Amino acid sequence: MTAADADRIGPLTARHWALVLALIATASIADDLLRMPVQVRDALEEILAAYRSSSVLDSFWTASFNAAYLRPLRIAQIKALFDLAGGNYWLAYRGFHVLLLAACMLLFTRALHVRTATDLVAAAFALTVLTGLHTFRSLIQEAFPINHFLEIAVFALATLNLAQGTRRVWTDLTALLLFAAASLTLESGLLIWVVAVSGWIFGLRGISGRGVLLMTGLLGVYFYLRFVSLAVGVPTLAERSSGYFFGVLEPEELQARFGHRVWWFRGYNVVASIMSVLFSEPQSGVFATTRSWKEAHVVAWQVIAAVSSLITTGVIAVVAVGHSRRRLRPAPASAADGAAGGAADGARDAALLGVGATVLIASAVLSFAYTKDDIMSTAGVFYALAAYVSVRHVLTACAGWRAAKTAAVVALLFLAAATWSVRSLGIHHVASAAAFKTRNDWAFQPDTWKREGRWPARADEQRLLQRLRAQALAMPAPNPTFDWRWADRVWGD
Amino acid sequence: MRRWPLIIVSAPLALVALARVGLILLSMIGHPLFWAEEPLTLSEAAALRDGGAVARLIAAGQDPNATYRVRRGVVRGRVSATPLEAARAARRAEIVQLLLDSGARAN
Repeated sequence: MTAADADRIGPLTARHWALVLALIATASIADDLLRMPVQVRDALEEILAAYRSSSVLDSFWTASFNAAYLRPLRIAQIKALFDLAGGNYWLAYRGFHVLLLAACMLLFTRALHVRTATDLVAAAFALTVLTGLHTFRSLIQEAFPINHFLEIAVFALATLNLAQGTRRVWTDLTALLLFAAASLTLESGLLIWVVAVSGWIFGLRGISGRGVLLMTGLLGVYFYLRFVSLAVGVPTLAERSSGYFFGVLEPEELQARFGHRVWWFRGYNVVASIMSVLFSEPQSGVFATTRSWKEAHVVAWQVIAAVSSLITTGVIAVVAVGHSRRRLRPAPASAADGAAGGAADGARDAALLGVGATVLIASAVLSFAYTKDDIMSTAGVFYALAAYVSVRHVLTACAGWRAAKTAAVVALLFLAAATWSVRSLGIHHVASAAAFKTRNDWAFQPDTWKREGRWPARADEQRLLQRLRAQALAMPAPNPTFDWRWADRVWGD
Repeated sequence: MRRWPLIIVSAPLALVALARVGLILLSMIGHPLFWAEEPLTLSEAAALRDGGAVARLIAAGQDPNATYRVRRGVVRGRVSATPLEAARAARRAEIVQLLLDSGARAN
């Protein structure tokens, strides 16, 4: 199909309209990002380490021998941006955050292969799911000082685009580089291998079988390096707090309750992580909506999250089951949609659902040690892709249904679209609230670190921290007291 | 191909896009909707746990021992207060500490 075959809606093709929607979302969220100070928690020590390090290579090498994690490229990137910043650290880190966001949105939209008006509506739905899902919030409101989870989502989407594309000489090499970079950045980087392998199994052969085999070899090298050569372990119960049913357990409580049956806790984390993406409950391991329902004080944002996720997951499930029974028909080649190449669409849809399900399960397995929305953020991106496939399929199929059935399904999709729209706009409220919290962290910062004995002794390091603090305090951060009264109830806090 | 299902489903999604265009335009003319900062006196900032505003106002030269007006409801029964009084009335221990560290006198 050529661009000329695609649906034109006014001056643009459907594909270009989808890109416009992605750019609008990117620009408005980027505007929020560029108003947020550099984070203190989980970021300031990294910045200080970058300052102390003599070079990017030194940072990489030192981080390779960390006892708990193998994430040398994460530290090396922080150092590289620090050196590039030329003193304007906020611009360097937040600017990079914006670039990652733009890459994520554009690669996501590219992976949809929008061509028709129906595709465009499904794409708008998927973009709203992507930006409305709670796992996306953590990609925006946090940065350490780089949001590496967003980076992994970008790498995963780039790999998916490669797998969907035509095989070229450089495709395999690019995929291997993406895997190497991602796996040395975060453990979640192993999802690149999951995307490449599951894509190949489900028929996306842009990355060759040889490329997938080589990547599997690299995965073996990773495991050897991590568990044998460098003897880097896995996170223990003593590492951090984690959600468990209706509350958050501190490391001491986790050890006391699960020290002798750690697999139970790990199983809970895996199941909770899958449910979190599919149903928006639990979030960070805590069944907050269920608890509110038991205590009879459910708030609006919990209802909105439940309704949007239940309908969308239901639609995905119906379409996926239809596919598994070989009832997923290619899009009919109607004159209105000009859907030649429907068979290819059907195969690509089936592959996207398969890859999405695999990424969801793999992400949950990677989250075995503790539940955290960030870890499931890449799975959230693939959930939005699955939503695209499913909504597109339903909107296409309803052309042949009775009016009453069509009306009922359209009413459900309208409800889902409306509730996702509310959730999506909440990202701006969440970003503003995060900025206020971060600026407060900076205000108390010298005293906090002095009390904890972490304030650096060297004058040049103190000057660096004071400079970062001054940059942060100069930024606007609206006080939540003056927010609209309904904002927290509708969007959460 | 029926068009009405597409129109109905896309309606809220189009509204989100339009709302975002509005947000971008408001930001471009200097009135970002989600980032409008209410001007606070030092005492109001202290009462409302706005450590960032407290630190910024003091850095800008405001006296942590002076008395400032407070809008109704921020500090119960008061229309003016020192920052320390406001922070204590609102039970903001971390702000009290920040003010003391910034030169506020306890008595």
